[in-house]
Amino acid sequence: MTNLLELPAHVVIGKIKGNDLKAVEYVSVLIQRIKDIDYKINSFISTNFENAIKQAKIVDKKIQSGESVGMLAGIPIGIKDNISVKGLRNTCASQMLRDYESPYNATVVTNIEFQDGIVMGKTNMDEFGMGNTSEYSSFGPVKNPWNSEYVAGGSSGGSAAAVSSLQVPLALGSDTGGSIRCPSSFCSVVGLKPSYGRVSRSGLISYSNSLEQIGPVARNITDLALLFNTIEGTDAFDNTTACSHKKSVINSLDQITSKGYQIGIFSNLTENSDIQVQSKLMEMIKVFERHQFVLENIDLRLKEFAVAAYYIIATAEASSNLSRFDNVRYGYPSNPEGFEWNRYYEKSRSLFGDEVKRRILLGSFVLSAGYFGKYYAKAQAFRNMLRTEFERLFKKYDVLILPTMPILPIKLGEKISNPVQLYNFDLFTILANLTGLPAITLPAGFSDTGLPIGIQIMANSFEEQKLFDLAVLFEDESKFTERTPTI
Amino acid sequence: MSNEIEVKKLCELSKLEIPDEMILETSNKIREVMSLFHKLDELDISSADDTDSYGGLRIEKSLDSLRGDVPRRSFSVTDSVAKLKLLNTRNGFVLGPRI
Repeated sequence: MTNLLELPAHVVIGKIKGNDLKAVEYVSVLIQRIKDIDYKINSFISTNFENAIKQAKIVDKKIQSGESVGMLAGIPIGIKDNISVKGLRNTCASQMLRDYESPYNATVVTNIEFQDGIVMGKTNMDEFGMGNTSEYSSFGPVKNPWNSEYVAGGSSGGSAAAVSSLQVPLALGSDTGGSIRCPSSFCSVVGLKPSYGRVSRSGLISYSNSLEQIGPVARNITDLALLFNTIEGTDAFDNTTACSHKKSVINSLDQITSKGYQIGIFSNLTENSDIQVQSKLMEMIKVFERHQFVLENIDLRLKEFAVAAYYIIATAEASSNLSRFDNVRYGYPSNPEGFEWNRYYEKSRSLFGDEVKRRILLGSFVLSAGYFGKYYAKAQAFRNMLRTEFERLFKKYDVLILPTMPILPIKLGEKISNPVQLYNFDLFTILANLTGLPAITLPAGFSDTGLPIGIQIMANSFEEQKLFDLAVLFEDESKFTERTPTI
Repeated sequence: MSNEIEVKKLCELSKLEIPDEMILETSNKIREVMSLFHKLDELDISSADDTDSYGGLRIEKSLDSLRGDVPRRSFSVTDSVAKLKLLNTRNGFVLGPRI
């Protein structure tokens, strides 16, 4: 059973397609795994076991009858609880939506089901994606599978923890300011924030539309590419999806080495990181040096304004997006009779958590008439300046390397009362969201105390292939993706 | 925006109910975040590109040539209502507060 759990998804798919393993057998093993250990991790808000077994039987039947099956044949996938799955609860980890059942599928879910992937359940997260520790969930915090006294990172903490703890081989998260990369780094899995416009956001409950993207989480780069290729592409339901691009491929080591990538290292960002994080970055650099790639230290201009600009834009968009939750169109049973409209609206919205309320208030303020130019307009101007800075860098470099998070995973409850400190931890991840660029986090080793450390690689828009190439090379040498936590 | 009166006003505008005993704490935390936002006062934006922001998206098709709409059959009202999980309703009507 242990071996089956640890098998990469692409190997399992081969066995299922080759009739060496029944999909229903594989799904049953994972269901038992979730029942056995998830009470220690809290990575799922709701499960879909009965339907998962039904879907697995359909895949097996197709194979038995010689029908063709999709590229995710029989693979169970965790879906972050802000991505719509028809017929399942879609709570966004909020009491506001505790009873809300999605009436339709997000495009990414439709794509997964079309490829015979199986929705295993909805994963835990920070409420509406607002947080980087997954402690702001009204369903309780997600615990780090490597050490349950520590946070799993956020906001897609449930997705990363479920993949890391062998409950599912693949999961979807959403990344507004690092929400896929931070938990992937803290849980030692691979996570990709795609280019803005590469993956449809139709069916994603919006928090900050101009920053967020849905992306995959996996235990290795081949599995990640499989899920990414399933969900990416144009979509009539999301007008921001761009023209079609080539599917990503896993190139051979020789092919990758021959590309002679130019790599920039953000030295002025790295120097402010934990010393153990810096050390792991150096190890990655040595791997690339051995392959004769050109590596240079570079400075990112304007870095000191990024966190402020990001949180101004994110809270502004959040205050607008969350105004729809008035408990008439979406919400929970609560009789409005006898209430004046505004009082009912305020009362019903009191179920938002403290961090969500704080961001709505901040967003309403920065958008208010007297302050719009001082905050929001200036933040947008900064965003253009930052994009220009990255365009300058990508004229010379193929990819840029920096730590995913400047710190090691923190203890549960350690920083929850200090929002500004938590916001500042996002500096390395928000750069990709402000600019719309793709970024991947790779497991890069462990601290002295056994806590995971991730390193991030960024590329120019729609150049995810370069990220896959370097990830393949690093994964081949480091082998960190083969380690699993003991739970 | 930092004192308690301003936070109460903002709660009213945002349609949020924050209990009186939480106003002081909320006000303090918002003051901390606003001090972070004030960092932007030091930014000189005279060199900023004036073009609109598309989230970093490379526009590969001009905005006046977006895809043509393809008419599709929409759900009938009966179908749509049947798909709703009815909430706060009576006799087929949605209940609402007084306006």
